[in-house]
Amino acid sequence: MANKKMRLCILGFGAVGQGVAKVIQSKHEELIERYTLDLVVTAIADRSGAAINPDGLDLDVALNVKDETGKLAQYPEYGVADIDGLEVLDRCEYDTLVEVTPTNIEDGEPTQSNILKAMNDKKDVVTSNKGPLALNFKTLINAARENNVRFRFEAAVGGTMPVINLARESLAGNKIHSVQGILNGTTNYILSRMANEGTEYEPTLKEAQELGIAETNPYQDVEGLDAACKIVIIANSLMGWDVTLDDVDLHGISNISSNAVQLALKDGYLIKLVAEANDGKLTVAPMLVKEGSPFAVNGTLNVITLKTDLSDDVTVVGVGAGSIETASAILSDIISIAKHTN
Amino acid sequence: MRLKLLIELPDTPGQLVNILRPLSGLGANVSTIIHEHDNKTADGKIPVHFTIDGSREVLKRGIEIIRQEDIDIIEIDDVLQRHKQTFLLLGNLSTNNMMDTIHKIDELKDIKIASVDLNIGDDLQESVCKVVIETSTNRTNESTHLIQQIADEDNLLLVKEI
Repeated sequence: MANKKMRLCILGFGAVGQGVAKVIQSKHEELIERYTLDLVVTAIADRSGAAINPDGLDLDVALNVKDETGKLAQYPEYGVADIDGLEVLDRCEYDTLVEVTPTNIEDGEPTQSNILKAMNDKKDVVTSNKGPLALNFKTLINAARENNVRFRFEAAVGGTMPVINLARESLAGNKIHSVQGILNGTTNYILSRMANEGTEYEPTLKEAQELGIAETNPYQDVEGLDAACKIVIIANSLMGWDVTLDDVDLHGISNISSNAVQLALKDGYLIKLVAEANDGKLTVAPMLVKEGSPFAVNGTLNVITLKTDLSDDVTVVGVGAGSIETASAILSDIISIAKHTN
Repeated sequence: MRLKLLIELPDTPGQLVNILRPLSGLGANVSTIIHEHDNKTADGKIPVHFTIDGSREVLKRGIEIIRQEDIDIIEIDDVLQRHKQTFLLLGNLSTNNMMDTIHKIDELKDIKIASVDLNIGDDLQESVCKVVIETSTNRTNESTHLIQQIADEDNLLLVKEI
């Protein structure tokens, strides 16, 4: 059987973009063997510019150039400086856009424009970017429908933990009436450490930053915005709601003291940042979870329970973040698109 | 049919008669009554076990009558009718504020405070109060909602059980 060639354009070459490149590189032969899928990356863009080659880029070279110079525009022969995402999409030849630029929850840009352009050009899209999905879900879904292209975003919700595809495929036919989950690894790490070590919030956050688990600006994680984006995406895509980030009742963990954690522990409870879509309401707030229950996950793990009409409760646990883990979710979306493309 | 009940009655004269009279009026037969005078609850009530015999309809009506009298039914045929919920309250908790908040929760119908535990931090912002309430198993969502309203009014963050 002839191999099916799929040309990818990767916008964004930070941790996730590089993870995607590494995964495609290491799985290239296996994907041909198992799915007759030949993945070729024809363009990669970062802040400095892009590397574009219609015959396919050498991913080792791209990763090395990025590692050594920090700028993809330095890619030998095919590097292009000062070019934005929209121009890259115009200049490169591709079948599927992999949009992995950093999340912007103010206006979703430039991701939203990149995605819409690709869709209008009749290209399939895979993204890990929560911004535009949490702000303008309907616009994106409608654009995908009108252009008859596929739009996948598993990586935007729970990293490698399957949520969207679990609900759409394995639980197809079920109605999901409510969802509860720990959807942010950073806050779960901080709260787990506070419970296990009896430490205060601030030093624990600093420790998480030193380990690279929390970002230098941890605002989106600790104030619950990241989890809020994810529950909005889940409510829109799996439950048929029409909601945005503004509809979430939001409380972060920055005012959870060691005192509170210890007082909860005395009765066998852990404090976790839980996101909930229930009874028409979206909430992200610290909640009490019984020790030993499925939600008592440690470290950076994520967990989600889908409450369904036919299958009752279905709970999955998985790694919520990380470059390779997120890339794995993106790869599964790419394979799924390839399987459904004639 | 026979039904075993565990209820809690205030320790004042005439409480039991208030229930037994309407029950016998229904035609229910009260076969055993055990008072646990030595085992008073935290709020001074006396646990009373009793068994009633009658038709399904009579027993159903009997339970309705007890509930109408605002009597706490703790168990029916050994099945717990009360549900415990734990909450944390966080925010600016001076002792007075906290007592006000607890008082408001205590005044809610059908909610009984089982315990209150306060952990005062080095400054008031870090203080936290844990409240355990008991409520009927079928009213847990409603109680959470009411306590949330009180927390909102008092500018406190309510951390509830999932």
